[in-house]
Amino acid sequence: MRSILFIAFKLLTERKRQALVSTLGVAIGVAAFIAMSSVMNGFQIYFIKQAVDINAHITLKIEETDDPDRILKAVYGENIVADVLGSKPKDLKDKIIGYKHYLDKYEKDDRFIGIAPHLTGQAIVNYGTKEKSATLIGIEPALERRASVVDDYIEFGNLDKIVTDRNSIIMGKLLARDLGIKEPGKKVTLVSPSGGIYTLKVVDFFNSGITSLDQSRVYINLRTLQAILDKPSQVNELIIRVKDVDQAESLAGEISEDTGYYAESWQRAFSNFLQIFKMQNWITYMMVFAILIVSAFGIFNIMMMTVLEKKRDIAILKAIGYEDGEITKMFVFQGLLVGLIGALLGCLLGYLIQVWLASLKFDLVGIIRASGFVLDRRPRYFVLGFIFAMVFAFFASFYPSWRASRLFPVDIFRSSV
Amino acid sequence: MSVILEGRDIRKSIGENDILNGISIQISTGDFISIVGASGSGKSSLMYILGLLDSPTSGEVIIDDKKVDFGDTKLLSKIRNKKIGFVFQFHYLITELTAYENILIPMLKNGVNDRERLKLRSYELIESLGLKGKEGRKPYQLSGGEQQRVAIARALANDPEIVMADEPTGNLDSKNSAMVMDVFLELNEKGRSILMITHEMYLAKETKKVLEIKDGLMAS
Repeated sequence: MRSILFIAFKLLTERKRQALVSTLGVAIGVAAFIAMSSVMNGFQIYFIKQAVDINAHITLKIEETDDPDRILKAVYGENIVADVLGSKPKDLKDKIIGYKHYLDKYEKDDRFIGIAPHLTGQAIVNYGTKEKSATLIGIEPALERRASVVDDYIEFGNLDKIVTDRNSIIMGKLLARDLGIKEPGKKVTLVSPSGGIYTLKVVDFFNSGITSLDQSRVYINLRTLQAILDKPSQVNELIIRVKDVDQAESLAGEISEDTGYYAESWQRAFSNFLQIFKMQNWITYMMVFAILIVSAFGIFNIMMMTVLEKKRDIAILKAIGYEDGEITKMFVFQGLLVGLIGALLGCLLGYLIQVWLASLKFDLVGIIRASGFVLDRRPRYFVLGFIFAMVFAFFASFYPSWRASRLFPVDIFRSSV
Repeated sequence: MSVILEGRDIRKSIGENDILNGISIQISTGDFISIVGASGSGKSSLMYILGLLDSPTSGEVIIDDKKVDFGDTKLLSKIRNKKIGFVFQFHYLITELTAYENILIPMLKNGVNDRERLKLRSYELIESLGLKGKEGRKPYQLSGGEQQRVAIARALANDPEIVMADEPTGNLDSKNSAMVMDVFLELNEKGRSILMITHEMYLAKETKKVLEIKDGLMAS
């Protein structure tokens, strides 16, 4: 083996320029993979983490169904085609009956971390001359903390103030900005759907980084909201935090069956985003794949050239006693060496790109808000990039190496004369 | 003198051309056999078969009293590495390696990994072939004669029982040809068996036995 490595190394290092070009090709491919993966996945993971953790892994709620032809179907069967005109939306009993029973039950289940009740409703918030619509979420902070990570996004950590001061609220950062509220302590007027007017104090801001939430959300004490909406002791959502987020979908099905209410997993709630992310990932990986294919052709090219130019050397090596398999290994090793050095260089380059991207500061405002790139800098991208490079290098060098091993020395010796 | 290598009734056809038509030959310890003949007579083909680089259409090659199985490529490689040293008209040195490194190659293949042993054997050959001071040079930095001497050193690296040379002086001027021939004669004097293909009669006459091939048959 030593002799194979020795010759392979010598053959490669004496063709510095070609080896360098191939190596750089691999390095660029690996670096592109690392950089693109960490940017794309960083964004996706950030979004999912924020969205999932702030909302819920599973939300138990009343299903909104609009089925105007249900009576016709009941009479004539499911297969009829009917267009019912003039129907009104169904008058839903917008509450979860016996929710305390579910709270107790699921608290004891060790697959769940926490469960918390919500009462949600819409209202108009006024501050001075400005008014904005808002989504009110009535919570019990003690339970909320166990079922979500809302605490992490309360700017001044005053979540408990809505317990001690029932006429206080925590307002989405962007909603506050739109209303012109810059610091806590301001009083706003809240107009309920039934026309009730309430004065509440903004004690803190909620700043998740997800634009749609920060623009609309207002957290309020559950009891206060029940009073405002005239829904005493009612809740219309239970949020559940599970131990294994990947199990949320199956657990949601189980809960739905158990309670008779609609249990929505985070995967379903964010299915649109997840689809987009999936497509983004496909595009990213196809681009990186194309780069790696090009670099693999670089290796293929250098190996084919080497085999063609080194026919005489291959012939003499065989005459000396090197076996076909050893000749194959000799050339595959050269490809792998290009792959190895390219992959290591690519990892280094990828790391430097990550550092550079992380150092860039700019305001990113979209479906998430950030002050620069949100990068996923896990080592897995380096490992994957490395593995991809080695696999591509192996396949790119295998055919030329196999061709080399098939050369018949006598043919070479005869043609040299 | 014991027989090292024997070819029995060797025939070789390529397509419809009969290259060798039944040649038998014995090479014993200390032999220096030259094979002469016109171009296309089958000299090199015979050497390739005896050197296990090519297989005969029919006939046998016997080494150490054992019939060689030409289907066992691993065994053929092993015998070539340990028992036979090749020298060709062109030196076939690996241009990326120095003279010293070229000499190492067969030994590394033979599993010699001891650095001291490798160095000792290589320098012994370098010195005996008058290449001292040239060991660090690449083939293109050596003269034709020096290149061929490095090729001879490489052929001798594993101390083979027999050296097979195919027109070893065919690419050299008379001075270098004489030098290479002297090397062969000296090696043979020390007991090494040599089979040399040449079309130069004056060189063949210096060997112990001259065999002529004509139309694929042994003429003498």
